[in-house]
Amino acid sequence: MLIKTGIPSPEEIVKVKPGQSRLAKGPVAMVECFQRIPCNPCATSCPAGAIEPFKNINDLPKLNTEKCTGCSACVSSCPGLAIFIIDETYSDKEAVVKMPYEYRPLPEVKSVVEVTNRAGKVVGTGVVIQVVNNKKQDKTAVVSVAVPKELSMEARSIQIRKESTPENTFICRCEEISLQEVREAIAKGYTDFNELKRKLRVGMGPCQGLTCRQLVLTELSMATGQLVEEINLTTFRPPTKPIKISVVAGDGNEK
Amino acid sequence: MKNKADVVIVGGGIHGQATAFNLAQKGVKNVVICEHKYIGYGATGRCAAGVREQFGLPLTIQLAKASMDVTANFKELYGYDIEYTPGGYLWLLYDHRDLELWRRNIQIQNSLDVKSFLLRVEEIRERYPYVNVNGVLAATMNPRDGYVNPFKVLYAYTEMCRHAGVEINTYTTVTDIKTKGGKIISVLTDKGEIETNTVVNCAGGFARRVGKMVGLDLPVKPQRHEMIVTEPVELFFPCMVITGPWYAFQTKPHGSILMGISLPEEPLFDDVDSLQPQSTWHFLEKVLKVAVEIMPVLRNVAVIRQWAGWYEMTPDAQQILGGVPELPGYYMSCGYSGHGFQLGHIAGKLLAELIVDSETSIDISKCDYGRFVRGELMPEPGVIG
Repeated sequence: MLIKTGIPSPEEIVKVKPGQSRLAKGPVAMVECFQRIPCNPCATSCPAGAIEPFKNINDLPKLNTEKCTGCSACVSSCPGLAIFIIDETYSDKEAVVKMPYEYRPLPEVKSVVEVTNRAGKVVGTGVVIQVVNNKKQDKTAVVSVAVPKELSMEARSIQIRKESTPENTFICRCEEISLQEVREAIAKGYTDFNELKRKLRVGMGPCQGLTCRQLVLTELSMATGQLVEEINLTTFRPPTKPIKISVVAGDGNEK
Repeated sequence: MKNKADVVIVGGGIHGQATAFNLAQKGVKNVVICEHKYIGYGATGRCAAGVREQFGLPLTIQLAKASMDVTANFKELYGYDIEYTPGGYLWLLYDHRDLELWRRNIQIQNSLDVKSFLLRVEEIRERYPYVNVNGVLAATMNPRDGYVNPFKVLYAYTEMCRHAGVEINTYTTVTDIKTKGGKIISVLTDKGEIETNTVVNCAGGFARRVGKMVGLDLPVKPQRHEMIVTEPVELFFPCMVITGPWYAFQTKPHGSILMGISLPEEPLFDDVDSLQPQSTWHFLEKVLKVAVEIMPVLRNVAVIRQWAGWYEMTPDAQQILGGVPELPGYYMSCGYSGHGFQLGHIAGKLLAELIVDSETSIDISKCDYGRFVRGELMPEPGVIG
């Protein structure tokens, strides 16, 4: 199933779950990697030699749970974000799951977050107890979340925001224009796409509307009843991608 | 669309809207604006939006100062933040003739209560360390000069106009003006006819066309000018840096840097349709080569957009503002030759005074169209480009 949906099946999970006796001893890695691809940073990053060196770079990782110290070095080194540290000894009722996290903003320590399963579905709440984001993590932070013990094999990501609202939904990411601002401007009479651009700066950022153009057009269409293809577009202006001044003009030193 | 109006204004840019708003404020009930595209299509929506008092002719300085009074107090007056960023125009002077000219300009400016002054090279280096002063003799500075966000100004007027009862018709092209017995009787548009005795030509780059509709051959010729804008970077220079043809400034609070250069090789056209407002690689190279020379620190900043607009040039680089004796009821506010946006507030006010009261608080009789016929040109020396 993973190959089609990106979500591993229960049968696959069972194969990589550390044994109950190992889990009872403290933090241990769980490597949820099921696809043979040329990738081995988990093995090369493991300071304990718990992930066996690959004979073939396409091999699936083999974890020796007895050697594993639960240090989490492999968590941020895995480009597939497929490795987690499970600590079922954290407290009587809670386990800690250390997970890779690449979204921003990072959660705050002690904040209550919604915990999601491998499919992204919210399964409960947890408390962030640690966020590690140093140079070594290379922007893949390791977030430790305390969750009810029964969720230790379910909790694999978190959501900071409870729900998306027009205020917190960005339509134009470059200029940080929210859906709410777009709707308010349209309601105020800025129903021309060109006027809306100049009024709000939607599409004026580095991506020049590549991301937001369609979204704004859809909003306009829904508000005015005009078909998207009938709305006058803004002028497509060069350069297609941002270009450094020195690329065109040199650095000003040559004569 | 109304089929009867007290005043029909051709053009929905800063001049059309400021005139309409001031007319409405003076109690004129039926003001109609016809804009052939959307609000912001023309020069207003494409301009650099610099605002300054540093000019050379007493009349221009007087108008610029009066307009600056509105710019600097826009929020208090009307409640809209137009992102006015005073920081001064730092006008770098490279030759002795220019230095002498600007010494004189500064004297005239000071006599009109504009607080401009000359900076020595050491002072420039100290205050603006990122500016390369190689070859610079001195620079002028007037701290009140600066820039605004043209869209904020324009749409503030749009909202104020609509609130005051002005009808703004977008995508409405004026095709002809009907006269009878030396009087205007109506305006023809592609959406229908509007009966009126009063028409204001605020058509910017299309002003010549709107002049021809009543038999006037206005010497207003658009010339392409281009600009670029960079990604936003940390705020580090507060002023507009100008060499004459080249200029750069950083918008606040956004942080992007705008730059342009006037290219003498750009021809003058009859109207914008023949000019083709398109970006060129030629301009990009020219503007950026000066940029890395004058402000080398800019070399690592990325350009994100380039666009073209136009100056509407007259033979003396000055506006046509006022009526014509041959045709009562026909007024013009056009031909601003690249410094029109900043004069919008005052031009709209004066034109509304002229239309309603037949006299103006600042004497603009010399800005009339007739000066070209009489040969009484009044060239403005302080033009960028």
